[in-house]
Amino acid sequence: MNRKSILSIYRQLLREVHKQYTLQNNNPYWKLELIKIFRQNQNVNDKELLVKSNQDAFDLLSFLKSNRRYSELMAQSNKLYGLTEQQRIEKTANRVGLKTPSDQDILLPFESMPS
Amino acid sequence: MNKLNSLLLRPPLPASFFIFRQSHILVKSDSKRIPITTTTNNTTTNANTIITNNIFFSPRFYSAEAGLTRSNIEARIIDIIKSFDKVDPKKVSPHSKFADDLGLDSLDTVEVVMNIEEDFSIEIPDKEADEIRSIKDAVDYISKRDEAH
Repeated sequence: MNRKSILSIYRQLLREVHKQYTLQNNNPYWKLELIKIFRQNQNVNDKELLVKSNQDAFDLLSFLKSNRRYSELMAQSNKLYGLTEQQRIEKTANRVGLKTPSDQDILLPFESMPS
Repeated sequence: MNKLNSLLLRPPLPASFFIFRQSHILVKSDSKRIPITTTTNNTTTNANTIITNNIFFSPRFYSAEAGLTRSNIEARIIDIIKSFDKVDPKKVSPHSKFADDLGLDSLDTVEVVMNIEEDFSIEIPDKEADEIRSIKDAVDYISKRDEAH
């Protein structure tokens, strides 16, 4: 564990967070939080703590990376991956030339009923 | 409407090469209207109600733009660094070094390089990112990368 490897992990973490959070949500909160954590541990001299935090950072990086890779692969092989139930049903109906009824269509018979 | 359709089909190039500017397919003013006698049916028609000869097709080419110029890259990088809150904007010059002149530590340098990466939509490998230590280095590196934009 040297200075270079820590900076490398930091750089890759920033990149992953940018891709997965900042770009997706248009919100730099996660990035700022990451920067804050690295800054907090900037002057740590305790060797054990250093090793532990470095391992944590490395674990987080592999988790973020593999999660993104997993989603990318799933999205490639499965068109319905990542859709909500509603979207999935709509797409399935469209596939056979049908449309899911709108809320209006469902409510209409009840509204026209004499009270 | 038929005239307009035939007009749109006229250009020898596929329609996708042109962006039609509606203002140019307008009815011409009376002063410029020239009656044209067609030979086929011997009737005088106002062929100029829709401009046929004066249409200005503005071609838009979808080829790649010319690469970034050095001064352009430099200006953008300086802007990125000036917007970094730990940097005093007055100290930033094209020859500043991150650590010596701007007082940035290694973590800050990583952040700055990441910001540059994001702005130019490229990924800089670790080895090369470590070597970027001044604004000049960054400008040199970005001008080497063709895909930066």
